[in-house]
Amino acid sequence: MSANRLKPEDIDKLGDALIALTHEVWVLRDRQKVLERLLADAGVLAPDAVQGFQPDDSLNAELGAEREALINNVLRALSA
Amino acid sequence: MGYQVQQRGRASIDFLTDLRRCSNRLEADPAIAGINPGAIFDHPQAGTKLDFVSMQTKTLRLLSDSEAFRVLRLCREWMLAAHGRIAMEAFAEMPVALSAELDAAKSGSSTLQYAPDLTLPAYWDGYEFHRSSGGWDGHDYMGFVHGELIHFHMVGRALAGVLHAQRLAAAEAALYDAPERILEMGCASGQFTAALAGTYPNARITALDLSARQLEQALRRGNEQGASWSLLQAAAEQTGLKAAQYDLVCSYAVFHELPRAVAEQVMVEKFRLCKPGGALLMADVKPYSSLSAHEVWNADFWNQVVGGDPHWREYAMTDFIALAESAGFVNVVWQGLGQYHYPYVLTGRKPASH
Ligand SMILES: C[S@@+](CC[C@H](N)C(=O)[O-])C[C@H]1O[C@@H](n2cnc3c(N)ncnc32)[C@H](O)[C@@H]1O
Repeated sequence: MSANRLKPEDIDKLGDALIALTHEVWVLRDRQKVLERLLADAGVLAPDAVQGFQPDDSLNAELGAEREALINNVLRALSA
Repeated sequence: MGYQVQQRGRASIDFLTDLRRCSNRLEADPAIAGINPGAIFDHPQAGTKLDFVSMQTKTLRLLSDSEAFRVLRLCREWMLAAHGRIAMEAFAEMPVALSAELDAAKSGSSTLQYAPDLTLPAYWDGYEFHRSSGGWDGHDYMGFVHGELIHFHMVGRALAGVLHAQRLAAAEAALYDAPERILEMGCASGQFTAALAGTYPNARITALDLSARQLEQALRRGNEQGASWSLLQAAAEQTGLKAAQYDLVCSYAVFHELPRAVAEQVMVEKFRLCKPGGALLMADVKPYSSLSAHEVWNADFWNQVVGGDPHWREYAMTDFIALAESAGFVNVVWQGLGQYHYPYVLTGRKPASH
């Protein structure tokens, strides 16, 4: 609803957050490329295996922890 | 000491390298490339006083209209703020066994003498030079983090091979053919120490720094090379070493991190430690007197104003020839080396009769 939840003085932090996010996105894309190459080379992955995958509890917990660290990295820039 | 940067660290360093490269292109924007702070800043004479603060205020007002400048500054300040943390994260994801290997690598042919009672000077202690998180000392393995991950991987990646070549050229510029004893001040992780050792293989080298963590990395480097460096935790301005012991007293990229008054004290201490007939060598960044007005603005803005180098400007405007001469050195010359006139090297001699 409300506009201006961020104030004009937050704009630099927003810029920093955007670059921090781009950094994280790159790290992930790099890792994903590495994985896909390794798995394909080993003949492990079927073409649609990633697309249709459903994580179990333990993978969900791991993903959760990594997601939190990612979010904290972005928030650090916003609250600097 | 073999090690491999792991995936996140490797991808992060790739990202930093490319962010730097891509954002550097913005410097070609006419608004930035055309900045000219005026004739008085064109090759300003060392030792003169200029009003840098109003120069930076004025140019910044002009530049704030430039989108290219705003984006360049955003990128550069982000890199300054992030690079130290990224390096520490890269260390944290490396195998735990690395710490034990780094500890073991401290044993060998070189030695390190700590000074647990040393009072660390206020201009140094806790200050994060280059806005590197953790400063020189703020991590158990900061010498490795700085010397390897930041210096070699982050900075060195973009400047492949150049950094070592510049140090070798500086080592060779000493006015002394075969020094038997060399003292290096502010050796950090021992990059210039290695260049000195390569250039003068028969010399006995003593190297000092305030940072215990950096010295530990210099110790590993010395041991790895089978060298017998004597490393010492001490302040360059007050080493406590015996007078007139060294044929060559030198430093690389240290003076620009010193307040002017300390730079003077260090020069006097260098003179005291030099043997009569011995040589002075100070290699560092370019003084403003060697730069065009645009280059002065550029160096001053990115290092002094936003770069976390609080003494850069006073270094760059100090007349080091006068400083060295008033400490007692003679035949003092200050010049840039090689095609890019970098680093700037101050050489001189202590009179043989002293
Ligand atoms: C940029 S680094 C030096 C780089 C190094 N000589 C090389 O070739 O890579 C600056 C070093 O000077 C040290 N330093 C700064 N002030 C000092 C002082 N007063 N006494 C001794 N070391 C000092 C810092 O701790 C840091 O390790």
